Amino acid sequence: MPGPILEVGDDLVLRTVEREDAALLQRLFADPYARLALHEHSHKSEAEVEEFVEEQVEDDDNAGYLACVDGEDAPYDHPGEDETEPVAFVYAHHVDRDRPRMMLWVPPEHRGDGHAESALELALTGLFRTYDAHTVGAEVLEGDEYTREAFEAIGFTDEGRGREVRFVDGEYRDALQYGLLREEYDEGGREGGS
Amino acid sequence: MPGPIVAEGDRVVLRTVERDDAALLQRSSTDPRIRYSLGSIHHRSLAEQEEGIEHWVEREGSFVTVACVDDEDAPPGNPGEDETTPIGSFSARHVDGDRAWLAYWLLPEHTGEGYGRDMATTGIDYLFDHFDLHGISAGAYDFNDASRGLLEDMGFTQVARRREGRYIDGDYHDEVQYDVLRREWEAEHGDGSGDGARP
Repeated sequence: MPGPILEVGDDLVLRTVEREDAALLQRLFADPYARLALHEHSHKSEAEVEEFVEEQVEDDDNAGYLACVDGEDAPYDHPGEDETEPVAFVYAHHVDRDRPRMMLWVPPEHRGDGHAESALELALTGLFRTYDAHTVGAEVLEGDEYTREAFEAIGFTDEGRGREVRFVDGEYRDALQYGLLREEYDEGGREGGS
Repeated sequence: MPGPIVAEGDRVVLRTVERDDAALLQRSSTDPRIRYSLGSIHHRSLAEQEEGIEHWVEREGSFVTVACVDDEDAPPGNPGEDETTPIGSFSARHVDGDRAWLAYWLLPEHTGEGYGRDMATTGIDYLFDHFDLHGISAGAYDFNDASRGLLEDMGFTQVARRREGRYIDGDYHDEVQYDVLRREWEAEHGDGSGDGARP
């Protein structure tokens, strides 16, 4: 289960990624679009994903969040099994640099729920409150419409595309580059952005 | 001194990096005329650079060379002190995947002599000939006219501009990305099969 609350939004909360969440995140690595956003080329065993959590997610240079739908009485502390439901994983690589790279994965059964944008917004709130990043980047592979629409919906700017960068699903696909400056995020008047 | 020749251009040869070439590579992280346009945030000591050779230069998937101008009698093997002049470095990361990323630089005392284009085309020809790459990418900061001009001159396409993506040389600057696909490179520069394919 995800751990304590990090940020609170209208519909979602962000909770810490715990090592026992490896089983959930393992499904991310079975999705070629999602794993390539992490620059990983193959699926992983649960033990390997636990290592990913320990070595990457827990590294101070990166930040990982599980966006969750909490039950009414879910605590700020560790929630019980039936008190919360993780609906999205948001990860920022190199929060120690000028332009962390953000990725989003929503488990397929939650893709109709409309949580992707709220999850990204809340993660940006946490990111810009915590780190002095000047801008946030995202790389979305051509064909991953769900993720592309989520980044575009919250105001990321299309900054171009690396052509035919990755071989996915039978063909070379472009890697779309998106960016959001802190000042653009602030102008959006988002919660915690001041 | 750099070691044997890996690739030969018209005037520039690419030789292997040896462990005692650390002082040369260190220039790319120290010399203000090189490091800002290259994006070297941290300057390195000689010892760090020596470790860098073992951990980065010699790593599988890295292609790192010293660009040299040879004397007439310089051997294809290990040259003597006065048989070749190191002028910079040509390198690429991830040559073991579909897509490699370039980096190259010249020592300031050797710029303006046309060596840059010879070095880069020689290196890129070699990469497409010997690695199964689908394309090659390169980045340059918005202010780096020399590097951007060279990439465009060689047939790279500007494909993205990461706005204010890096704090370098006192301000946030755009990172401009370029790439070239194998079929585009081979149409313009030949496919490298056989001798004398280089234009």
